[in-house]
Amino acid sequence: LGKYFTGRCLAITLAAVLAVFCPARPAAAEEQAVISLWVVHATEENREKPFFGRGLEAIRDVMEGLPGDTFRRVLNQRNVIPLHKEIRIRMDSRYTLFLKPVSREENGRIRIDLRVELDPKKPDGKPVRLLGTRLALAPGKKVKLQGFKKEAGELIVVMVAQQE
Amino acid sequence: MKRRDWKMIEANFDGEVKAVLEAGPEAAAWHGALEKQRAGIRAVHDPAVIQDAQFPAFMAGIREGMETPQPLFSRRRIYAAVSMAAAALLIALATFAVFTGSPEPVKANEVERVYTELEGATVGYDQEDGVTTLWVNISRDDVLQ
Repeated sequence: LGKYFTGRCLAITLAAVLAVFCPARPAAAEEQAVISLWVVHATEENREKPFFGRGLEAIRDVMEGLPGDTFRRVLNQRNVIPLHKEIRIRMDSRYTLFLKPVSREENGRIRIDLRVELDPKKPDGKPVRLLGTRLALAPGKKVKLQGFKKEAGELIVVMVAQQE
Repeated sequence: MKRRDWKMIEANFDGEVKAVLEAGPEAAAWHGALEKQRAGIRAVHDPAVIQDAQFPAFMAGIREGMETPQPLFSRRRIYAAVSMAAAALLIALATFAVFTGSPEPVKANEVERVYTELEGATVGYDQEDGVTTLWVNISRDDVLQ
């Protein structure tokens, strides 16, 4: 009987130790970030009411108050990015977005390095880092990047880190 | 032997019938088994009682057991100590888990730095209604080819 209870106590203790000290999320989820991203072309077309193209329903609230009355989706993608790996997203013929998750905080935020580069005007020129930032993204909270001018209107980037 | 014969032996054993059974090895064995069963049942029914003459020896045995010191590292003591330690550890861990818990999920993004390398351009950011906005102010001439 003593052996039985001792074994049982030890098993329960071991389970408690594992439950407390083992991470709640699987290891694979710790090592990657899932970031949804939209690139939107905003233009002024003298409309009475703002126009939102298809595929922008999830970020329509973010578009309110922006310059322009017409918003069209250029791209929308869900990126699963391993930590420390940089991905490159071509926004249009001139702008390129670079995105690199660098760490995941204990509270769930994902720290990322992000930059938008502008291609040179001349073929032998170098790209210019137009906007660079380090951000800690809270899951579900949107980030908007704006000011990427085009011949007509401008490009807007919206991103959100997904809760895993 | 037939089933009927077994029953006859049992009835004869109980004195219910006075049939004279033909002796045989099987009948004798069954008869012996019935006797043993009855003796066992009787023993349970009449529990052993310590007689007055036996009592001093009985008490001496108990006294000896009480006075003999238990070994310091007996298996039973080790089991008890380990069980106590395990229970204490379990309670400590449970308390730790309840009072510390997991970190609170954050409710906002955080901008650690923002910069531009384009001469003449300005950058900035703000947070409103849970949305973080970063912007760059550039001249259209910087972009147009």
